[in-house]
Amino acid sequence: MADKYIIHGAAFYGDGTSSAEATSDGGVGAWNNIDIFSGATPTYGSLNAGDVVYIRSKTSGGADITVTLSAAITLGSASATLTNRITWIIDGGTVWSGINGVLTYLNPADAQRTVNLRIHNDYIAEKQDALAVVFSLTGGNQLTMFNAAAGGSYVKNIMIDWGVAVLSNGCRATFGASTFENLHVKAGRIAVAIFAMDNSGFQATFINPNVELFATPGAGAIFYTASYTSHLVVGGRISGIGATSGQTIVAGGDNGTVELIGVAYPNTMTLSSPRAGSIGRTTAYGADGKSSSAQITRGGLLDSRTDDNYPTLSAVLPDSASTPWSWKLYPEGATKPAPLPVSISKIYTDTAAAKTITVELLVANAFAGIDTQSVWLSGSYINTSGQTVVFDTRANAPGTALATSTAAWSATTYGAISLLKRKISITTPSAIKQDTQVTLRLSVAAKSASANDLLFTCPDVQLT
Amino acid sequence: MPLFRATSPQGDATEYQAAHPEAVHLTAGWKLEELVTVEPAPDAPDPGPQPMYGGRRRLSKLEFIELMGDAAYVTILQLAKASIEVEAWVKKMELTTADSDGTSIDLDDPRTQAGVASIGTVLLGMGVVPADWAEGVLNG
Repeated sequence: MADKYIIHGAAFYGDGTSSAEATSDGGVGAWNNIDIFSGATPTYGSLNAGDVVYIRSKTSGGADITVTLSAAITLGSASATLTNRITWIIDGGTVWSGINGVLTYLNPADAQRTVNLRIHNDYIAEKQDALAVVFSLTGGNQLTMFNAAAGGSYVKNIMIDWGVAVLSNGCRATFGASTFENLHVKAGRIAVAIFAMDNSGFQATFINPNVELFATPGAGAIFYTASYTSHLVVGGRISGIGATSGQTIVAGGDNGTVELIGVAYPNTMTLSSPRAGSIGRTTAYGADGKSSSAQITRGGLLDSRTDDNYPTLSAVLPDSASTPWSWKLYPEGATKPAPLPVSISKIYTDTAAAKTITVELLVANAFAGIDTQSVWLSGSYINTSGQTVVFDTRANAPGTALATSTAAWSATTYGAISLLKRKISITTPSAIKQDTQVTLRLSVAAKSASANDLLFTCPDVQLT
Repeated sequence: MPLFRATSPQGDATEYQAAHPEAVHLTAGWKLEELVTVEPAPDAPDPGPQPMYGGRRRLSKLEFIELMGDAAYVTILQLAKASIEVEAWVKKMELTTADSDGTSIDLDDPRTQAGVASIGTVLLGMGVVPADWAEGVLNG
């Protein structure tokens, strides 16, 4: 396990053991060819499992390094193992002071010249975007630019750029069981997905990805699931001219899941569609920069963004502005066996007593099929004996109209959609124990016939 | 001799070969690159053909036809005119109704796999598809 060094273009080919240029071939000094990064065997010295290889980000002459691809290429060394990994560091001044350049792998042709990563190798650019994979044409025909499907890597601060490819069928990248920190993607047209998964059963983790969309929305998605794969995305953002209505964030199927925690994206983008294959679950937290949540299940979409003018009632966020919030429900795929669920809870703090539990709703006035059988409340509370008491309001066939309400919502419209005030109430048969949780689930089995068939509910349950 | 590409602050690029870059191209505002070509390492793993639909195993009928390719699809239709078995396979696909997710074809379904393998043998014998056609279709 040792530190090795590459200075591309140095006069002599050293043995790799020093950050200084060698004074003779085979002498002590840096290797002088970047092809070692793509698997070439060093002419002098050796690259061994466990080594850390520092790559000077400019040539010895002071130029950035651009490797022009004529075929697919694989970065990393086959000598690496699971326990003795090889780490490649594009130096940004730590070793070579003041040298802050870019190592680019450039595909200048509309041909599959994928940059692949090897398993058990880690790739770190000290400065953001100092290792870049670039496609330079305006049209690409379903090219896989970057492939990390082998998995088993930690990758930091790299850039994948096909931002100019706004014509033709676009490009994509594929991932496996690796962690990418600060991945910067500039995407033009998207072929299938930016983050596609080619293997089954793996989790790819992305921390603070910066996704810029340079093409208008098309058929591709941002994240694409395969058989039982999982995308875990923490932080980061999706932006650009393509980050708007018509651009889907999650697609695919086969029970894959996508979890977005603190990933900011505009409220005009489509998170996913339950009809998009058989997606397992998609969740998104904090997309509005606050504490919103969104979830896609087979039943539909549930979303609590605070930047999309949802009507609100009494629930507020625990922030300094007490920002009002509510849930928007779009039961696009709801069925009787698979309704769209909303979990709500409240701690009962008054003295023990039987209470009427009320959940307030707004229902689109043209939404057919809303009744006490298709929209109902299930739940439980703790009685004074400490026992859990369960209840539900679902009517046996046929259902009746939901009760009307006079609750003071902030609005009874959402865009061009008129909303009707409704409520569901149930009185507990026994006293609720003080300081215990009342747990509720609102279920909507009525399926939306259009995107205008929405509901809103206030998560501040009334216990009166 | 190294090949350089120098891009001016105005975005104009010029390429030239020289032992060393021109000094002006190392000044602020210029982007200077050395253009390098490397040979793929002999032991580079072959990532293999990329699945057409990102690894998705359930497809729509149209996606399945695209996956089989035009040559195979046209030949299958021609064979259906002369073979009841092939016609039955085509009919079965036509009659299959889509699931709620819009897909009809499951690449992991034994019936799909048997059908593709069987028709693949015929197509291979006719020289319409290569030997790995069936494997490629079932791999997506």
